[in-house]
Amino acid sequence: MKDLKLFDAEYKLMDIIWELEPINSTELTRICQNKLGWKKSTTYTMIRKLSNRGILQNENATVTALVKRDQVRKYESETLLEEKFEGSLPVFLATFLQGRKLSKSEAQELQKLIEEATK
Amino acid sequence: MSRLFVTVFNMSLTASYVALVVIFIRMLLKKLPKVFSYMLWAVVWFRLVCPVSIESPLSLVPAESPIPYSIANSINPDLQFSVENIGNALNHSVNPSVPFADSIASLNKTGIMELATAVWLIGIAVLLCYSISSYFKLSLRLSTATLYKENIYETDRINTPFVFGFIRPKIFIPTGLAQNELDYILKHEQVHIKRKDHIIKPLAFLAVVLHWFNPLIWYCFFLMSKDMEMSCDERVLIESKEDIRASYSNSLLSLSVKQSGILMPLTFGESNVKARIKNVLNFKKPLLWKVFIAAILVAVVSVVLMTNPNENGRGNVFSNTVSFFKQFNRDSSLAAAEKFLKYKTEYVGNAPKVGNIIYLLAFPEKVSYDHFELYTDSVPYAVTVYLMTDTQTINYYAQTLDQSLFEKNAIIMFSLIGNVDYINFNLTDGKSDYLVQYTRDDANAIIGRDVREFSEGKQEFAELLKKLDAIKEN
Repeated sequence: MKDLKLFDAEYKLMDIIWELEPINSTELTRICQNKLGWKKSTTYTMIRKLSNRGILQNENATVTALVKRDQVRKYESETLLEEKFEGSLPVFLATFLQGRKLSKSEAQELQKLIEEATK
Repeated sequence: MSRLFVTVFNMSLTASYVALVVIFIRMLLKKLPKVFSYMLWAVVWFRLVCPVSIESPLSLVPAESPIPYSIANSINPDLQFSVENIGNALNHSVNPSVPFADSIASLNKTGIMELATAVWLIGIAVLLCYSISSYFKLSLRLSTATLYKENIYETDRINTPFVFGFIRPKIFIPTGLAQNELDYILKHEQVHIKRKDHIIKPLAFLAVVLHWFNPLIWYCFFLMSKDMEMSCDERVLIESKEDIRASYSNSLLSLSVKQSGILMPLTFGESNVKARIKNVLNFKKPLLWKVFIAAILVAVVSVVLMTNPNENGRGNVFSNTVSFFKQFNRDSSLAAAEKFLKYKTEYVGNAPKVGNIIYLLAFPEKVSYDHFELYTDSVPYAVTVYLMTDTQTINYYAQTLDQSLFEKNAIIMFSLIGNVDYINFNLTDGKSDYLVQYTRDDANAIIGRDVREFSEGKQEFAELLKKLDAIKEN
């Protein structure tokens, strides 16, 4: 599995890119300056680092994500399951539902997901 | 450079004395707001970095500069650690006003002083490099921190909140702090910024770097940081309308678990959590009269420790001990004066007396007295004292401006030998000679009056010897 572990700062940058891609890199530094308080050089360093890891690409001053938000979320949830719940989904769900009630619509949605996954 | 080191060493000794007093006063102020303890450290800092100080009759600081500068210049070949020296050193630690300069001055310095100075400078360089590199490392780590609001940034690369930066300080917080925790932390850090603690702490650390060889100063830095944090906690509590002691302590505790134990001189890192929680929980808004008394105490202690004693007034508890040692010094210089005065003569032609005077003179250890010649045929009358030494010492005296030892001896001879006009010292290593010449006018000019007047009595001559000791240091 490809390493998709993102630090807080990296995730925040990707958040902006996912929203606005494809985006001009100069434009991106401007947005990062406003939203994240980053210097130009910091944004460029981050772009270079993430493009080396194959998470985004920067061609002709245009930045696009190579990894979708869903992939990162999938990676995050799988590592969480592996590290904290011995890879067992039922254990995870049981812990998650401890002292917590599901709403009707939530329960229906979950049921649908389970049915689709077991087809 | 050696001279600079001696200056810093003397400052370190004075500051240590002041620090011990501050540590004692701090214990008296234990129940009062910590801001008073925090302020007291300013005096120690002043003593650590400021070589000159204001004189005042109110001073409680010992007067004598513990180690004379001449230690850096004089040349004595071998080290003598004797019981006597250790005894003196012990005396000194019991009462800082004992000048143990004499024993130190009689120790060897060539090489040793240079070595000590080099070690001192290397230590400073190492500490500075370490702090600067850890500053830049941290600044690199913080570059990706993201704006939270105003001057507050968050990042998942740190475990504990702190203020970073000098000119435009920013508050850095770890990601994922609970909202109520965050409130206290931000208030705490904002108080730090408001009080300029982010500048004070590095300045304090610089003083520690300068005096790194003194463990007491490191301990002071630790105590000062503690007082700084505690007084900052107290300010947050005072400014809050409700009683937030319990929840504030909780925030301190939850952050303490995550902290790492590295020395980070330039940041705030939450230190001394246990003591701080105790302090927070016991905190009550102080009564006005207590604050008033503490403020006066701090002001008095500051004046008394910041200034040096001046000549005429020392109406204080130390005057007894000081006068005891002055008495002691006077007795020993009276004895020396008596010996010299036995050989007082009006005529340079009185060879036995002149010889005995020269015999009583003190020369550096590598320099030994060989013989003397008298020029008594016609005016000007002169005495030449021939001294044996090694090449190194000759070169030293040929280069240095410090001729105080010869100067001192010449003045003694001018005072005791009535009609001598020139005193010459001829230093030889068997190959080359180095000649130092003094005239009677030189001697009178240095002392400021006719030096012969001092040979009129024991008291006067003892006074002259004391004056000469003072010359030695300049």
